[in-house]
Amino acid sequence: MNPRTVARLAAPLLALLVAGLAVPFVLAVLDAEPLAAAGYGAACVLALVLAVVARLVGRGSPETVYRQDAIAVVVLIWTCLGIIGGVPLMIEGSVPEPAAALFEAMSGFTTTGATVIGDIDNLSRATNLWRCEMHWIGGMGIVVLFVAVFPQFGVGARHLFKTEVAGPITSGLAPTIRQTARALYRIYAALTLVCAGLFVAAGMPLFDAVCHSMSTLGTGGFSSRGASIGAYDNAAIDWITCGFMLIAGINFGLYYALVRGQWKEVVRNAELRFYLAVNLLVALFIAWGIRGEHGSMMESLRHSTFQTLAVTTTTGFMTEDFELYPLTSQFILFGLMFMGGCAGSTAGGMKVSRVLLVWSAVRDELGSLTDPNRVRSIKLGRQAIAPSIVRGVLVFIGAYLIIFLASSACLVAMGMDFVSGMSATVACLSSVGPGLGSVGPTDNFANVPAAGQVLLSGCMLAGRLEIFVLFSVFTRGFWRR
Amino acid sequence: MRIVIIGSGTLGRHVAASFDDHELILVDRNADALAAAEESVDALTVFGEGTDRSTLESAEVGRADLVVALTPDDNANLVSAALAAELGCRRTVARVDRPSFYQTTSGIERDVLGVETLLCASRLLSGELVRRLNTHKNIQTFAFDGGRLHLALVVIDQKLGNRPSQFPKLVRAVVRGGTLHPVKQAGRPETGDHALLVGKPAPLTAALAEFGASYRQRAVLVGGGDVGVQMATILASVGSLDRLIDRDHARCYELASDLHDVKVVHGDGTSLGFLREERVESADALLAVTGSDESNLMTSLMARELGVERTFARVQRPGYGEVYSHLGITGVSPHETIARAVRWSVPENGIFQVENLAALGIDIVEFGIPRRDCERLNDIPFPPGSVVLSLAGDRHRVPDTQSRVTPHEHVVVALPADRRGMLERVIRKLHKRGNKK
Repeated sequence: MNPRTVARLAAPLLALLVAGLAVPFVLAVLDAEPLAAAGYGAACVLALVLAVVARLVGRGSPETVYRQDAIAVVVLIWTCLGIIGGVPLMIEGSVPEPAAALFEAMSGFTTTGATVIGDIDNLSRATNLWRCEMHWIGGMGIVVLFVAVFPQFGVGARHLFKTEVAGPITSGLAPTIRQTARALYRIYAALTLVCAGLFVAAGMPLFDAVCHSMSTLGTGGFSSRGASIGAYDNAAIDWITCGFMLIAGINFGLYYALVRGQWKEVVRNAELRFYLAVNLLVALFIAWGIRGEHGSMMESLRHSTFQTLAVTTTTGFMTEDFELYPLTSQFILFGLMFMGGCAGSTAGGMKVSRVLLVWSAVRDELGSLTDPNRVRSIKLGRQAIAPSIVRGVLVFIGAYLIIFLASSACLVAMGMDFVSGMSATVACLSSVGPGLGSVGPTDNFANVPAAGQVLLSGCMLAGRLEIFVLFSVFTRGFWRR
Repeated sequence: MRIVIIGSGTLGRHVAASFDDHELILVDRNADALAAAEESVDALTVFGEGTDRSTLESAEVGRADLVVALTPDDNANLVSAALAAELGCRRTVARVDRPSFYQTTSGIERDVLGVETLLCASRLLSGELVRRLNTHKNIQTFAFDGGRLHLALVVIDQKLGNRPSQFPKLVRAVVRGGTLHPVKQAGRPETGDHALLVGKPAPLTAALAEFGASYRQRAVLVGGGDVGVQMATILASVGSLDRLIDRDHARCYELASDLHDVKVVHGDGTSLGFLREERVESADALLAVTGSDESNLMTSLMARELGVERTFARVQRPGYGEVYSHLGITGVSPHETIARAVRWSVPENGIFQVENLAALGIDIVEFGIPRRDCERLNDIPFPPGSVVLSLAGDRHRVPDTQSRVTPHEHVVVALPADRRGMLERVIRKLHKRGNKK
């Protein structure tokens, strides 16, 4: 790993962050919010200074980008996003404590959507916009944006891309990685615009529509309203949000295939079919369970669908408090927090494809007990999956569960109760946002101790970078030059 | 340009790396090879058999500008390339290493079974080795027409005693006093002349010998495989082969039966004692062309130890050539040779290759004409000062003004470097006109 190469690559990424911060800065100036303007201006300057320093340090570094360099850049830049992203919140005063500001910014960029802010309705427009903008940038990935925008040709860009967009089975969409990144961002931007347009058509104010569309497609969950989407009490808005959460939770590569007329590939995709089936079944099950609380089955279905999709896509929006649901429904939703959305989407969690592969592996193992001479291949739909990938998935899930247990134990040791501690951990590790207990949908994370907020920020980062990318930085071999 | 490469082994990856400024798609049935390729090349990977229609359709060969089949299996390469052509790919290249498949003795053949270009690795490599062998003293050499045609630049120097009484037949142009002249206008050779010779490897080697006794070389070959046989045939035809050595007695017997005027010796080229016994030090050069890099390296080092001035080794592993050069051995890689040939097969705006002889202020340009046309050389408005050196193709032709250039032939022309832009415009116009027809 070459620190100068890392610095050279980090410089334009930090420049992208400056561009992102400039938007709320301009809004704060236009809204005559001096504290917000000062906060975003200071963050811009900080990011700019760091970008310049990085560029100077990286001058003359080797052109070749190795895998370790890519990992270092991704981990470094995501850590910087969390730190720098929280600076305006501290200066503005909406989140004055450093640990909480780090938590809020990391929650923004990792599209978790867990918040420490109690009074969202009185936040400045600049801060509301920044919170949702963080979701949008983090959803598809700042490194993917970098690859799409900057002429970083060659296999180095591919290493960067695959480090940020990790997954069990990574395959490109187009011959060059830059084309792939651009295709993804075009689809992402187009869907965001359509979502915003539909929100406006349904009666949402324009500013709110912009914020919520970014939050929805990024599957983040930050809202410009304290009561989240529920504040509008608008069925059309609820269903539009459902539709776009569902879309955001699907592999974006399938949209690329659709655009190119390869609809058969989409229809046959095993992960998509499973994802849709789970969402449908769970929504129907929960709707039946909560039918007594609503005037009609349709009303019940609307809310159950919303909450189901908010959890499976790890968006975390809310129209009602799912802690008031029957315990079985709560348990199912808690379980779905682990699964998350499809690989190649902006959703978090372990990913549907991993769950399917584990299920196939379990069936294979059971089958080998009863029929030992039979030769099997673990498949995802009709695609045979190499044993090395299956092994990687099982190791990933094992690591995920270990982190879940260890972090939950730490939070409980800090004074949180079992349910709150465990749900807070999975909510952050899977980028869901709301948990249960004291971090439930109508609560927030302000009462989590500062050390716990830092720990959960780490969980968010680990979840977003799919664990191994982050933890490889702590191995001795990584630092060998 | 969109390029599909079938076969992502060492050769496929090497060729892909040479095209890294294009859109690349790699196809292979080995998932591990594809994963390894992804580490070094920015390319889309498609898992599957290159001879399967569905795999080629997944790779969208119909949209590709070039499909190159480079697996170790000749038959698979032919089928993949032919199928890709049928699916609509613009150009197809297939590696077919079996020399017995070829009609000619060159390493490239055109339009066979629907495949535009076939490449024979052993022949291309042997051609390249001969070129390197000829590059010594004050001779520079260049390969054109995918390696089938060689150009040699000889500086005539009285002190070297290489001034012939008249220019050899293969001399096509002379640079005298900084000006390029057709050989007919140059008269007799003078000291300071730069003679440009053009020809196929064997005749060029023979022509270079006309410049003086010191230019006549005798080489020892170690390795009786395909490459060794090709080289032996070329060198023996011009009297430049000393002996061919192989360690397999049965193979030696085959070689002795099939080859004529070739001294075949059975022995271990890596043995210092054996090489001493064969008195290889009396040879001007030794070429180690077995299939083993380690054996070739050992043989070359032994030969240098014994005092052979020039040693050449076939290097299978790409990138090792530089290491060999530190040891004073000229390493020649089949992968690099094939990558160059593949690169050559894809012209840019009708131009296949350009070599700049900066010291002389001239460029050598190889270009083709549009497929449907048949131009007379006279009708092509070459820039002033240009000299057409050759019409290169399956047969190398010495052109005259009335010669017609067929679509499969390439024109090799020398011209002042500052007029290359003019020639490029002429070529672009030719192709624009050809595309309109």
